[in-house]
Amino acid sequence: MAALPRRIIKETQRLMQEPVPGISAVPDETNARYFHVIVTGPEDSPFEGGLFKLELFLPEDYPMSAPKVRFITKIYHPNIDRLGRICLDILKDKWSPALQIRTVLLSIQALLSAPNPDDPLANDVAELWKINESEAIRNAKEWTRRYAMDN
Amino acid sequence: MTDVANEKAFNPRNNTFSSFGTAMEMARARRKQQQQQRAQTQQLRKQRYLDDMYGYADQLSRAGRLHEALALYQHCVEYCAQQGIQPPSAERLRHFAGALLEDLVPSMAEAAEAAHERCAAGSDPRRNDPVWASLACPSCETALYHPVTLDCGHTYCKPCLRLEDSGNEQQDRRRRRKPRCKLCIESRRTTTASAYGVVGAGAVFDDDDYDYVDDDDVSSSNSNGCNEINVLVQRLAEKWWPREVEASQARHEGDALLKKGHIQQAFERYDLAVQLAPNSPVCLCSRAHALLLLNRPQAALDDTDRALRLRPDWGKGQYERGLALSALRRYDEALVVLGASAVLDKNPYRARNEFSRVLHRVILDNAIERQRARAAKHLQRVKSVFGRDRSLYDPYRRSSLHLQPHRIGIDPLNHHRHRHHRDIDASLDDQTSDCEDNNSGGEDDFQQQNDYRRPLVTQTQAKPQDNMKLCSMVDRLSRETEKLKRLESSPSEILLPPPNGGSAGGDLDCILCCRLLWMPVTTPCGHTYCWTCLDRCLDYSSACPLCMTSLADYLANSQKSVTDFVEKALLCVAPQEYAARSAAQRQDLVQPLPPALTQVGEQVAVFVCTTAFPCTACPLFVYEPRYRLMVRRCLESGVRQFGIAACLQQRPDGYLDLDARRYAEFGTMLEIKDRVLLKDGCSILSTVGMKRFRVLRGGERDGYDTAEVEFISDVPISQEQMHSVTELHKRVRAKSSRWWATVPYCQRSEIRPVFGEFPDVEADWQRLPDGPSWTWWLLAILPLGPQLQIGILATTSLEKRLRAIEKTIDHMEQRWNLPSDLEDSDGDAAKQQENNSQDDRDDGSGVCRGNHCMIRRSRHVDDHQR
Repeated sequence: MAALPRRIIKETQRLMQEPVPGISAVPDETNARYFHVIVTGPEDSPFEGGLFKLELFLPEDYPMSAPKVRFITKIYHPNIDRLGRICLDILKDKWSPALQIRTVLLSIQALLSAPNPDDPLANDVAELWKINESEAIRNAKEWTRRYAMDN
Repeated sequence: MTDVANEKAFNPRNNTFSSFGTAMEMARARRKQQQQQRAQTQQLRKQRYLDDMYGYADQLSRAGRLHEALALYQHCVEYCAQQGIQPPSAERLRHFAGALLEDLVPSMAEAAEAAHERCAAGSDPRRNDPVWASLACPSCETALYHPVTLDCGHTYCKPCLRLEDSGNEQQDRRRRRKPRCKLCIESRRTTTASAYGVVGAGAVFDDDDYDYVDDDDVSSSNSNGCNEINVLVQRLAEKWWPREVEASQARHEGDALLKKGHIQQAFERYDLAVQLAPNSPVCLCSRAHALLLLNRPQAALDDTDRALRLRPDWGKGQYERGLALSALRRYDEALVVLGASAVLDKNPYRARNEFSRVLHRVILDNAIERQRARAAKHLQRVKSVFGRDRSLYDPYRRSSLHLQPHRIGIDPLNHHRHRHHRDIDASLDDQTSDCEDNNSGGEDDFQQQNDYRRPLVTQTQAKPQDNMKLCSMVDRLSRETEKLKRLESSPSEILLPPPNGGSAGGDLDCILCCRLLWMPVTTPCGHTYCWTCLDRCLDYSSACPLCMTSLADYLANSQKSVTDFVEKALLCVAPQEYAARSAAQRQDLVQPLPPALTQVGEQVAVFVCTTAFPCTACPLFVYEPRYRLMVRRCLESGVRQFGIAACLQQRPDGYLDLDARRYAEFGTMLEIKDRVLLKDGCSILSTVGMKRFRVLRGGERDGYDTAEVEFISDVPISQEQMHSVTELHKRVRAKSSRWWATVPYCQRSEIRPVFGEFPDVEADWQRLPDGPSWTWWLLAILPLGPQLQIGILATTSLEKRLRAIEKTIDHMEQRWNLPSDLEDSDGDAAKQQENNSQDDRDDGSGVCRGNHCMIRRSRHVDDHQR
């Protein structure tokens, strides 16, 4: 494997030295392109109090291609499916090489604060979110309690 | 009519009082009319005379006979004064002023030569040259305010690009389309001048106007006109020279106010600028300009004096000083200063109008002065020699001494004034010899022309001292400016980054690779990246990574240039780091993989696509971002080779199966013969196969595959086998040629442009590492499956390869023979062959499939080309 680009080294250093509040990202011991991420559920959201595990992988052509990010912790969210895949434009067509791991994780945190049922990935969740928001939020809280607060 | 009136009046038969009275009145009226007519004719004659004189003077100045021309102009002015005609405007001196200035300003060729000499003298002129090192705006030469980087890589203050509304909408639109780079124009001009040898300064400039740019080849910008502000340069300038930038801002605001006519407010802005940057000659000069407009010439003069003390070799400063002096009615000084400004600017046209105005004043003043002096002298003479010489009554007699009417066919005043005529004729004797001395034309040095003023022999009568003063002034002008030509221009302010001012803070790092910027490029939207980083981004998307503005047009122009400012800053702030960065970049290009300790084979980049064969052409269409990068690196490093191997399976969309083999174990090196870069960043490659290789270990780099490989070649044919192989080769070659002959014309004409003609057998084919090239050529067009192709590529035995070809051809012939009924054989050729061709036409099997398969790629290429 090629030596780690300076860009990744710098980003990792910065993530370690000045961590984003509510987000921790630690590179894997064996693969510096693989990060173990924990995002805390934002305040005033159904995910408050939860600790959500994610995995983040920087492909070989990062930063030209977006990092690949997936929720490991189960989450009830209209833009995140059962496999933890995330529907977020900057991870797809709106990716720009000027974005960073940090900005991606912040966007994911923001997505937790502001679910967007109009651009759904999990159709059933999105449907409920639109029809009966309070019930959907109740579900989300329940899932958060069940899956994201265990530890 | 007159005759009738006279008749009426004096005919005795009509001698009545009433008729006589009428006749008298008519006669009187007639006389008055005649007088008027005469006066008019006279006026007209004078005017024509003046015009002729001026025309002649203009001709003389064009021919470079400036002293004569000057005398003539002076004569005209005096003539006007004498005749009570309104003296002609300063406009009439344009030609003379232009000629005089052109004479002063060294031609482009001379300037280029001088610059060349300077270059030859210094070891590395650019590095030592403060102009080169300064990071100021090339136009206003102060700190950059709202810096805009043009596509040529030079950075200017936005207002300096003259993009502000000038009121003329059409002009604005034109300008908006084409901001022009002064530096690029100048360097081009210098090269042109030195390339063509002697070029008159005037030939390069458009007359009078500053728009001396061809419309077609200026650095263009994006479609909406001007590029955006360069954020990096702005940040650096504000960080490094905060006061200077503020002063520059105040000054530019003053300029804008001045353009709108708010002189007082403009003055206040300029004043602020001077306070912020008290040692900036540019700010002082701007303030002087405003002061002049506010009718405070003495204050303006003080400012320009200060500015010129700071920067004595500055044309614009001299020009402003000339204006101030002229406003103070110190015309003689103004003339010299304006001349100096033209010399320093190396442009005889900018100061021309002002110069001719001042010159006009000087001539007028001189005329008045002389008139007075001569009047006084005349009075004395009249007292002593009154009555002896009538001609002495004419105080303006001397002024006609320099006329040479016969030379240009003018007969002045048409015997109207006899005195004048006589004088002119007399004066010719004095002056003809002078003329002969001086008709050598414009190329002559001024010094030579001065010879004309040497005292003439045999003339004992009073010499025309009249225009001595003017001539000496012209000479003084040329003397003063001669010194200036030797001066090297220096910038107004040398702006350099503070020592260790930048790199530590990461200001000069590329946001994409987080390394020090290398060959910094600025997009039209004002964002700066490493050249290679931007290229890579554009492989993936045509949007600017930072602001997402589309760079499609910019990409289509493919005229990236290194941003001059940032590169200079890098060289100043972090020269060692920058050098290290360059070295690392070169390493990156050459080395597909960083050197590993276990490395046994060669490292190559692999294009995963299809099997290509040695000695055979392989046209490729490259559109995938990662391969664009790979090809670019191949070309930029000068290696021009990469490996190609057949794709075995599509990579699943997961990212964890990195170990799965995606491509064949055996491949071929391709050498890039030609590349056509399309506007969207895709490219068409003409490549040809080289050595074969076997992959030892796979790798990946920035998204594309790399491999550690060992090269393979045919096992040498042993002596025992030589005979059998030669026989086999002969047989298969014959079979193949026969088969090729049966391929229909239409298919052959498709194959030929891509793969070329059926190659001849090389003389030393037994010893070639890849065997005879015709075998590979044939294998490329035969319909073989991908696995079979890889197998044949892998074999290092020529015998096996030949047998495979033979088998394939036999197989094809057999297959086509089965359904065939051998019904129509109308030629001399063997039945088999005919059937072959028949079948080819009928069902398109065999070669047809093969050919289409191979050519589809080339067609694909064609489509894209279209």
